[in-house]
Amino acid sequence: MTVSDHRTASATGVRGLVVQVARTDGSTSSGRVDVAVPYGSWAEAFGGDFADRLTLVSLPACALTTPNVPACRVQTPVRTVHDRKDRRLIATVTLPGAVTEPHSRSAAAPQAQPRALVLAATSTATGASGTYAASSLKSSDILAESRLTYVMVRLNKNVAPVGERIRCGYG
Amino acid sequence: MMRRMRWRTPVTVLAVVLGVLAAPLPGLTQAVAAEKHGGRPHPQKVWKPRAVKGLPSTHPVRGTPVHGADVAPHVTSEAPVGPSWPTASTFSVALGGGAAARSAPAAAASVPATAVPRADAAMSVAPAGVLTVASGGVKRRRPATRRAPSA
Repeated sequence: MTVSDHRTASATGVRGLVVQVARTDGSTSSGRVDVAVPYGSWAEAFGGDFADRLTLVSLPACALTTPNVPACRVQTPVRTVHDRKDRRLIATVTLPGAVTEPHSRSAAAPQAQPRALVLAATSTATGASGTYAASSLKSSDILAESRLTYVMVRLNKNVAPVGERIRCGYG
Repeated sequence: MMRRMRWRTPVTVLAVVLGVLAAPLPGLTQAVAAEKHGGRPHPQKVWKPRAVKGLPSTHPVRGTPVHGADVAPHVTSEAPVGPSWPTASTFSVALGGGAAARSAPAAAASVPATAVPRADAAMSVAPAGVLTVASGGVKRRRPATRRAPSA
């Protein structure tokens, strides 16, 4: 089991934690295990009931090697048990079996290469306290006065960590 | 006719004089009002402190609690707690034979790892069903029981 640091997780587009789980016993068959990811130390990293909206998702295996490829950042929801008492996310996942390379040049017997399952603990837009999805901007939210135009923007609480400034732009 | 005119003229002059004396001068009126209402000509525009329970006094003279003062009451604030992200680490967990879950620190102590995970960031891996059932998220199914066919 490999835990990635936060910078690596951020590169994959995950606001949370990324872990890799793989079989290292050389077995080529898949196996089901329970994985528990605690989040107590970074539960307050973002606002808007961030911890309450956490869940586990799976990422493609290439997420940690080529995170810039959009296909490698696709998140697939994993059925997650949210243990709010112990502040951890638990899921039953299927670990892929190791693969053997038949065209190995070495004379020795081909060794099984483990395949890792990439899991990420990240937040969704909806939690027990409601949704934090982006709201649409209606024409009634735009107030034009002389040469100035005021636009009312609704910012969700989870757009930035607590204490950080928010930079706004327009286009 | 002339007599009537002579009689009316003093009366008119007297009325004008009395009217001028009776009508207060505008400047004099404002001065009196300002003296009466603390420098303001209208009594309704005089700021009056309103007592509010629980707020300290900020009135410069009277010392009575006021509402809407420009001096904020003392508020104890807490600094935002920054996240403590776990460091990159690798560890192995031996499973099998229905073994119980072994947390990351316990595994790291027995298996060489690149970095020992933090105690508060311990990941857990266990055979399927152990952690989910223990957390109450999934109910364990009862094994199906078959009744023996009655004779």
